[in-house]
Amino acid sequence: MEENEIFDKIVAIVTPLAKDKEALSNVKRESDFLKDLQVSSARLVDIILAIEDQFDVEVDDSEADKVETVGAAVDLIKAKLA
Amino acid sequence: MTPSAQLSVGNDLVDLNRREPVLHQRFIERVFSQSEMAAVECSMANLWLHWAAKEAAYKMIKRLEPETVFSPVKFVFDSSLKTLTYNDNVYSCLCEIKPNYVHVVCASQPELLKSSALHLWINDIGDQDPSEAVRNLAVERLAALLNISNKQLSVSPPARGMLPHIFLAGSKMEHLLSFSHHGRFVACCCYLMN
Repeated sequence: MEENEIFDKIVAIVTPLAKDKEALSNVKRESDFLKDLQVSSARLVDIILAIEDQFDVEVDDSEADKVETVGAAVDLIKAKLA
Repeated sequence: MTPSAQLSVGNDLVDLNRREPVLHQRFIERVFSQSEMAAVECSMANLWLHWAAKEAAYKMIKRLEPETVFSPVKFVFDSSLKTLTYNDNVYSCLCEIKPNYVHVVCASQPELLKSSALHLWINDIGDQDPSEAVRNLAVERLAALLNISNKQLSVSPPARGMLPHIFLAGSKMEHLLSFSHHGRFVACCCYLMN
């Protein structure tokens, strides 16, 4: 799967959970889920679960703990699918 | 006397009125242990109380052990005893369940929660920027407690899971701070060191 396709799928997952819609419209790899997109910490768990479903991968808590940005999520999925 | 390096507090607040999409169907099994299930399934307020206890404990422990990973199912809250168990260590919690929010403070030592040095401040901030609002709240209330000008104090924005620091005229103070915000509310927990 191409990186931009992974990126778009993650943005689609985050869209209903992000409070800052302006940051969402300018989302980039560096966008921080908590600080920039203002996703609540509980909803980060939902994002991880949705990633597991969408990409058919398993993400353990130590991996999830490092997923702070959209780019980190893309890299994690790329590594899982490689 | 316990050295200050071994003392820690952490807090977390959940706005119960914030409208969000429904939780993922596997959220509960991913986050909560078997011993928590009955209480969690009792009400949404209880579910979020358990979540807030886990987050508060994580912040508290991460200050002492920076390598700590937030693995929510391993932070086990007992809502009857108001204790949080992690890695066989049992920590005390202070819990508030209000109609609009739940708030939990978790401490490294139970006596911290009973001390007059512990201060909790919660504000309804409406649509203000929550990160700025919680820093302003801390500076304003702490300056009043210390009887100094707001302008002499500043607060460092915390990294994820790490506690913020407060500075007096650029010098780091030892007081323990923890911030939380969700929806319309911000919460600051402050333990004043001697």
